[in-house]
Parts: sequence; C-alpha cells; structure tokens
Amino acid sequence: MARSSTENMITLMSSDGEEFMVTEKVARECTTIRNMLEDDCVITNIPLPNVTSDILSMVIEYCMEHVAAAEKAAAETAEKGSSSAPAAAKANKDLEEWDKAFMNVDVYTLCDLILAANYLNVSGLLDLTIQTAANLIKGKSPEQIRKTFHIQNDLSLEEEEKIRSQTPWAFEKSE
Amino acid sequence: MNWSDLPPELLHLISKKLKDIIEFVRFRAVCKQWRYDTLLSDPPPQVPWLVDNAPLEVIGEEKMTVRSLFSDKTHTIHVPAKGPFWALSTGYLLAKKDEHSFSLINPLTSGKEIHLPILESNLHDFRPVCHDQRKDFVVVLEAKLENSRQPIVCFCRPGDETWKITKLPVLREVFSCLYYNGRCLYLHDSFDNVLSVDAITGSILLFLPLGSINTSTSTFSFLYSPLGPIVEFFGQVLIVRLNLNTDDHVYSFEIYQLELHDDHPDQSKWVKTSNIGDDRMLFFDYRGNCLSAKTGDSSRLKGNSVYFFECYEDSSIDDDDESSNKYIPCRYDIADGTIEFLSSPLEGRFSWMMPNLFQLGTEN
Repeated sequence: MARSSTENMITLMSSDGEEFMVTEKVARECTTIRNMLEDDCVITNIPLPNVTSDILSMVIEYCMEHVAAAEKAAAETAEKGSSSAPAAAKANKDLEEWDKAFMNVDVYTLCDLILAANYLNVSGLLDLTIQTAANLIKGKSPEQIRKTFHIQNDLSLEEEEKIRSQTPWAFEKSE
Repeated sequence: MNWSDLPPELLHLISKKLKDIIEFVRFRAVCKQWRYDTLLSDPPPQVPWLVDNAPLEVIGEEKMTVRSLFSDKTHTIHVPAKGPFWALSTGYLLAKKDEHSFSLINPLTSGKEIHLPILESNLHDFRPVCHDQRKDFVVVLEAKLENSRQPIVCFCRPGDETWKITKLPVLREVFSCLYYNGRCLYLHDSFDNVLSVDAITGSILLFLPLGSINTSTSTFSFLYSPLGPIVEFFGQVLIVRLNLNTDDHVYSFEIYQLELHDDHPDQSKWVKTSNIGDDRMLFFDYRGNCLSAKTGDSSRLKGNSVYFFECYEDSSIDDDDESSNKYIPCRYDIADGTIEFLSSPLEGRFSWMMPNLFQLGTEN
C-alpha cells in the first residue's frame, strides 16, 4: 500500500482527555467521524466527549484490525488478479475468531462498547456487540439474565404476576 | 452505564436478535425498561414451530405441544378455548364452537377469545383458505352450501357484524384455494388452468393456463392435491407440485411461480423456478397449508428449502385409521434435490404454527 506512508493522521480525543493518533482510513470506519471529515476536510482533531479512553482504544483496535483485514484481502486480489475462494474463506474465519476473542469482555465493558459503537456508528462493531449481548440472554430465565447483567428487578409483584399469567409457557421448565 | 438504562433503540436491536420467541418473552420480563421499550407486537422475525396437531383438530383438547426449531425444546401450551382448531398463518387459532359460530384465539398470549359473528348459512364442509394474514387479517373460509352444494367463500374480519358470503362458479373439485389481493385462485380438477375469481362479486376474472406444468396424478395423500397446493410466498403466487414414487419413497418438488400480467391477462404464465431465495423457506403441513419464513442468521435452518412431513403408515398397528400414520419432519433442498430428516422426539400428526404475540384489538 504505497499511499499509507503519506496518509493523513487524525487525532481522536477521549472524554478523559487522552489523545489517539490514527490514520484517516481507520477513523473513517466510524461513520460519525467519516461524516465530519466529509463536511470539513481540514479537520484533524476530533473530540469525542461520549467515549472514555479505555473504550476508545478498544474501538480503534477493532477498526484497525478490520481495516488491515480488508487491505490484506484487496492486496491479494490485486496480486493474483482474483481472490481465491479458500483463502478468502480462511481470512473471514480468522477475522471471526479475532472478533470472538475481542468480545471476551465483562458485561460493563460490553455495554460501553455498544454505546460507543452506536455513537461512533461502527456498524460491524455494533452488530458484533449486540449479538454478543443477545447470546448472553439466550437460554436464561429472567432471574438468570438479571444476574448476568447486574440488573435490579424493578417490576412490581403485580407486573410480574401479569407477565407470568399472560405467557405461562415461557416460564415453565421445557424439555 | 447500566444495562437497564440502555436507550430504547439499542434494546430494540438486542431484542431483534432473539430468534426464539420464548427468549423475547423472557427478555421482556427482566425489568421495566426492557419491558416498556419493546413492543409485544414487534417480536423478532419468527420461524414456524412444530406442533402436534392431532389433539387440536381431532379432539379439540385444550393444550398443545410445540417444539422450537431453534432451541429443540418442547413446550406445552394451554389453549384457553375449546376446539377443534385450525391454525392460521398469523399464529391465531380458529376455533369452531358449533356449526355456526367460530372464534379466534392466540394460544401464546392467554388473550381473550374473539368471537366472530354467527354464520347463518348451513355449510356442507369448510376449510380456511390459505393467505398471508400479516397483510390483511381476514378469516376466509371455502365451503359448500349444504342444501345446494353451491361453492361459496365466506369472509369475516374481527369486529364485523356479519360474514360476507360470495357464491362461486360451480367447480367439480377444488384441490387448493388461495386468497390473494382480493381474488380467489382455485386449483381444480380441469387440470388445464387455475381459475381466478373476484372474491367480492364471485365473477370469473381469468383462466391461468397451467401450460407446461405436469398434471399427471400420482398416488400420494399428504398434500391432497395432485397439483398443489397453490400458495402465497413473500408476495408471489406459487404452485408447489410434489412428485412421489410410492415404491421407494423418492420425493421431489417442482415449483412454479405465477407471472401475472394485469394489463395483458392472456400473457400471464407459470414459470418453473429452482430458487425461491437463499434465505427463504416454505413450510407445508400434510393438508397443504403453507407458511413462509426467512432463515435469519440461524445455522440450523437452510434457505431455498421446502420443510414438509413424510407420512408413513405405522405397520405395527393393524388399523386403517389415518391417525395411526406417522409424520416425520423433513427438509427438501430445492437446488440439489436432497432430503434431510429432522430429528424430533415428538410423535404425532404434525403441523407448523407461526408463533406470534400480537393480540387483535390491542396496541401492545
């Protein structure tokens, strides 16, 4: 990639004042930032008051990995004239594995990542984090879900009774 | 940030990933925020449940056994009404109270039974007509009048005062009937066309020639029709023809899609297709009732497939009774013609039922 050496660098600033230098290509993975850059092409310093440094560094890590994977695939296609199906499948699988490992976080971090992915509009990361949350819900009773996500049960007894009487089959033990 | 404070649009995204409706119900029982930021009427897209239909239609028993294709778990659901029942495409059950009265009930919500108006005519026989009720919730029955054997269709929307009854041209035998955009399409025993009738006036609109569709009859019973059924599938009209070699139980499906030309009706034709969509599935029961669904991102389900039941007689029971037949759920791959048997510990006279939580007449 010849142009990577001359690529513009963008500084992203987290809510707690930490600065992150990233290539424009990586920053553009965030649709919110891409829109800012398209509105104002000389902007080089972007404050992100909704994202802490811990979470921003993770979002950047995700974007860098996905940009690198896309560049690698594009380079292979350019070199061979066409992408080989088995190689592309392996690259996809590797990236999936990377995503899976990346999602090995506690539920608080997962929640912050969902909010950051939504705010910065990183569609791949949003889908990944939302799917991870849904997977944590599957197969659990409401009480087990509350325990997993550290949620207080604020439903009144009447509300709980109503829910159970409306759909009793969903709360009975299944085989 | 706390999980119970997630903005509604993000909770909505999570809820849409819960492909099994039981997960959605449990999700909504976690806390106030999760409950009130998601609508009961807006569950994730569903795929049909396997349901043991025999108690529903034969005995009218008040509980049903269902099995999720996602979790492979079995649930027993109490039905707060008396049957016999017919499963409609929305997940509602049509209950026949007596010769003249019918009601609707959603067995999943313990909602109230919705009584339809008294049907004044004496019907010889009736069956609910296949159609997509997500677009228009109307109950359509195909029947014959008892005294004259005049074919009719009866329409009724919940809340109507009376049924609307349309007399139809006399046909000898109807194999399959579809209600589609204000018309009734009939597959009948002339074997050379599909008859399109205006559902309101009963006048014949069009003969849709079957053209190259093979109409030779073969001896199988589970779809009842040698030609059909005729179904609506994601807005398209399909004829799904089953070929069966009874000696060695080899199945294949042929699927024809209607190209309807409203401006030039004579140009309308049936076109054979080998792809109904890589994420789309057709579900049939043994009566030819049809449901359509998308695979979503499930790895358990395969698109461009027909899910149906292979029926065989249980030779251990020396009985001509149809209830001794066994039904095995199967998947037919339209592209390569292979058949896969789905495991199921349920034994019975199966059907498919689309689980749904929406309640007629309420917002949530």
